Amino acid sequence: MANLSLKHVKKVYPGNVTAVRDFNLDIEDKEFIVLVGPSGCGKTTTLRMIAGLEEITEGELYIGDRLVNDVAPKDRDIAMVFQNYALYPHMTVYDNMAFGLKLKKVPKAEIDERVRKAAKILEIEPLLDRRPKALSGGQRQRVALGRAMVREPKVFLMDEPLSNLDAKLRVQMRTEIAKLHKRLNTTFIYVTHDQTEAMTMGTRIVIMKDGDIQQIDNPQRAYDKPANLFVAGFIGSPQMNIFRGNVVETEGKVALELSDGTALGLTDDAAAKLKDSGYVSKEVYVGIRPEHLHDAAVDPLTGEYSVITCKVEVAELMGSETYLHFTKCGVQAIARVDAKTSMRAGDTAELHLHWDKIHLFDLETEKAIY
Amino acid sequence: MADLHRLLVQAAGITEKHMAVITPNERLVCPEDSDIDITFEEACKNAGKNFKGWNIYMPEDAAERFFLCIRADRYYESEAGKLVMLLLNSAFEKDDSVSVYLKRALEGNLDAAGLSMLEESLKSCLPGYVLLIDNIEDSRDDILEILTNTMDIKTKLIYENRILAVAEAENITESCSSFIKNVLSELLIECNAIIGGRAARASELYPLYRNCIEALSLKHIYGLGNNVLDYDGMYGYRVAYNLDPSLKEFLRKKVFTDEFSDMVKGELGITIEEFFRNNLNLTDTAAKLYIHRNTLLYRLEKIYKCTGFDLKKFEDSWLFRLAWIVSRER
Repeated sequence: MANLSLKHVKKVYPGNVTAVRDFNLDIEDKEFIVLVGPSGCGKTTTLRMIAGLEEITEGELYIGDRLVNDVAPKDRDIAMVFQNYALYPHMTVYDNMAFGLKLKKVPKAEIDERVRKAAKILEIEPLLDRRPKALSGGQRQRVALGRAMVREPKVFLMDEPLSNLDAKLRVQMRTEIAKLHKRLNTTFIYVTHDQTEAMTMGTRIVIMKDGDIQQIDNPQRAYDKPANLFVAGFIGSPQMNIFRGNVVETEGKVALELSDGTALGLTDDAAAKLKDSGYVSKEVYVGIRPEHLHDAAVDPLTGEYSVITCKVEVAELMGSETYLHFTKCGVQAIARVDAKTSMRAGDTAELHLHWDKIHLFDLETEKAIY
Repeated sequence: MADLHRLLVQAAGITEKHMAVITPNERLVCPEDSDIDITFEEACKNAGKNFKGWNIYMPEDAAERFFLCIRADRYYESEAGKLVMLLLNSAFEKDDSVSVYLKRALEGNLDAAGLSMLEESLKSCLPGYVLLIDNIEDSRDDILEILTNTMDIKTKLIYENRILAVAEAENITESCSSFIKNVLSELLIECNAIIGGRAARASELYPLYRNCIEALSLKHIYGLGNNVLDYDGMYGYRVAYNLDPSLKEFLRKKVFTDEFSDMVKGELGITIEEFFRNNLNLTDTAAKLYIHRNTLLYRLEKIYKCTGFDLKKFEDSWLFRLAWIVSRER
């Protein structure tokens, strides 16, 4: 069992610089948790506190039922995997994986058993006699994972392990790590700045900014129901389009009006929420995901939808879809439309948007309203 | 250890015997095809005897207490063992003399004769990078083992609970970074690797060792997070540290007003660090911080209004950077 619990954990560096404040998180056994956020958000500091490499200024950290604040890293039953897959150049893959166990004076037969077991899981058995130089980047990364696996830790800690791989390999490796997690059935804590990695790998993601947790949720919920404007923009690629709009009420019907006069309809629930919370006649942030804007010419919507007109500045054919770049109300925006679109730069496009695909955020607190 | 390994491979080639060595620090060194299974204690107990099919030999100078193990078979010839023992003794003696002279060189009390002896002993080790490994806790043997397996270590010694080594690598910074990660992965210990510079002659070892110590001091003084420090890349910190105290005070007062000191404790401090880390590149900094370029410009404007330094301008940025370093001095 390796459930982890961080209770009101805080990290303050000398000079009174707070890196992490009031971090609360319960991690279930066998969970794959991803800490994600921009540079300086405190994700690596949090991971280092879990590893014991960084002292916890305030709060408590439990691994299982054991308070480990003052337990040395080597006694926490964890293993770390880094972004720079540092292997021993003159050793074979087998020896690279066995080395740590030899240092711990694990019996030879047990070392052999563990190395072969890990090699089988990682599908690197045929490579055991090779040296790192003869391996591809992906194979080296697998050996680095294998080195951690043979320790048979309760928790795997991974600090941006894929960030120095090329784009293609990164995609391949993130699938492999996710598969590995399923096979090992152990707790994984993974740090990345890449929201795509977070979305594709984590069972839950912890989105951080400036030392604070912004949202803890499963990837789908974080995407569908972002807790605030930061999460809305950070999760999803291309990013969510954010406009400012006025909440207007005409003949008892609540709607949104962008600064250029574009009217956006709202579902009854959203309208009621805005009205009940006193947002009528106030300005709010309006978030629209690029894929929720449809080219009316090739993919018209039915039911309750609004129409947004825009002048296409750039049309990028991505293969299965086309990105239409345009400026609306002073905001550079993107619509991710069907590849069959005939829209080109300079054309005026008519885009459809379902009423229930609008995200609303408070102008001051930036928290989600609906 | 790598030398010993090579020596054993060579000896096995000459004698056609399987051999292994148990060293004074209780490490077993053997070629890949050997399967010797013996501990240091067992070797001590069985010196001069046969143990599990291996003949255990101890050198004449028992103080060394390392053991040569030769696979015992009916074709065993004692001459082969003696030959290897001789080679081992000579290898250890050579290492020892280097260590003694190195230690004296580090203490700065090596006379001309000693220096010339050191020069002679280190002939095969130089040129090489002088490395200092700090924060080795109580795992120095394991860390030494990791070090020698991560890069080409020409010679090494333990000095004041640190490891001093002369190493060769194509990219020494990268190798040191790999070493740090290896130690962290295997032992969960975060040590520091300090590169003092490249020595071509034995007489350069002492000043380069002093460089390592200075770099380590600067790390503590300025609270640097890096585990790999290259003395040659620390000009900014060296200049800042050596500034006249009155000038330091002037810089602190000029930039770090009460208002600004409060401001930099939050996101603005992170922004400044990231802006410098990205070589004053607005686009890269904004991307790393996940903020809009205009937000970054707004924050830089805030700094300008508060301090009078426009970080986008070279003249302002280098002076601000100096003040920023000075402000971190403990």
